[in-house]
Amino acid sequence: MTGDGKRHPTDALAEYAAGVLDAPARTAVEAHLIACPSCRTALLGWTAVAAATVAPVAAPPSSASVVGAVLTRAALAPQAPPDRKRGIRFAAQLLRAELRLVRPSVWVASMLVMACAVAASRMPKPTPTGTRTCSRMRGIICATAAVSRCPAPVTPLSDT
Amino acid sequence: VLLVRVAGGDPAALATLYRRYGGRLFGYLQRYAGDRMVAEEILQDTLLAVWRSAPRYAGRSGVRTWLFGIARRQAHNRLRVQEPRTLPLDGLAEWADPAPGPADWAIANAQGAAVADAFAALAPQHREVLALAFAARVPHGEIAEVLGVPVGTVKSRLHHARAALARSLAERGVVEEMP
Repeated sequence: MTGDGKRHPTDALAEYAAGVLDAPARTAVEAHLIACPSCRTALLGWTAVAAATVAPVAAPPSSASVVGAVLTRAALAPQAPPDRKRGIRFAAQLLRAELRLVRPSVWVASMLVMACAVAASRMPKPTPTGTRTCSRMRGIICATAAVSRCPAPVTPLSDT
Repeated sequence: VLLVRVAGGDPAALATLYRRYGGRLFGYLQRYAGDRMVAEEILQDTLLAVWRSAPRYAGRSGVRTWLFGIARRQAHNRLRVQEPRTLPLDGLAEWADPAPGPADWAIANAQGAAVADAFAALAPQHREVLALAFAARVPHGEIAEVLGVPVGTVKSRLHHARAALARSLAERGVVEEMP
């Protein structure tokens, strides 16, 4: 705090030196600087840093050269669509994880059920023979369900 | 609106965007990279990334903050900067007396070559914050967004960078040239 009870705008001095304060903030800092020698000397330090940072910086290349080079690069190396590869990799990782989590008997049962479903869908129409086939399939499905309920062998997982 | 046109593949809009922000971006990159040629390469990388990612600009930050965020990532890619989450002195609430001492006179009197050498010797995080604040003239609130740190950290990092610059110049004998 200054002697007259006003706060020093210490935090704003670097931005004032950089010239980025908006008009009201700039006016407030300038009003304080008139009455505060210590802030004026503090500002000198930031002004020196600002001048040292900016002074040797060269002018940017022309818009035509930069934009031309960028468009050429964009045309020569079109961005590869990463989503597809990422999707395949994700599916493979998911399958690998599933293989370790689901018992082999469940896989076998699932495949049998699917095979039965495919076979059933190919049947021409319900006939007495077809009805008998369906009842046999029910037997197979019940058997596979029973297999899948068998206790799974305990296999230690390397990462658990 | 300008970014919408860039996203639509309008080269004139990209040129306008470059004319509006290219000077500050280049000032930041040149100070940060410490080499004009490298800065030009990173500037091109930045514009290419802008050209490709403009459709994904969600408007959550200002255009300038978004551009400097891209420029920073491209600079890190080129320069292989390892970024620590915080600097050892970031958390320090108090900093040195703001009154300029002999070190600040050294900064004020330093010439181009000495300043370039002294900058090159600074930690990347110090170079970066000085470059954003003074070469690119980005307000501290936006610097905080670009760096992903609180505004207080930007301010304390600036004070430490200023002290480090003064030390770096002093080590090069610039202090002896003081009046």
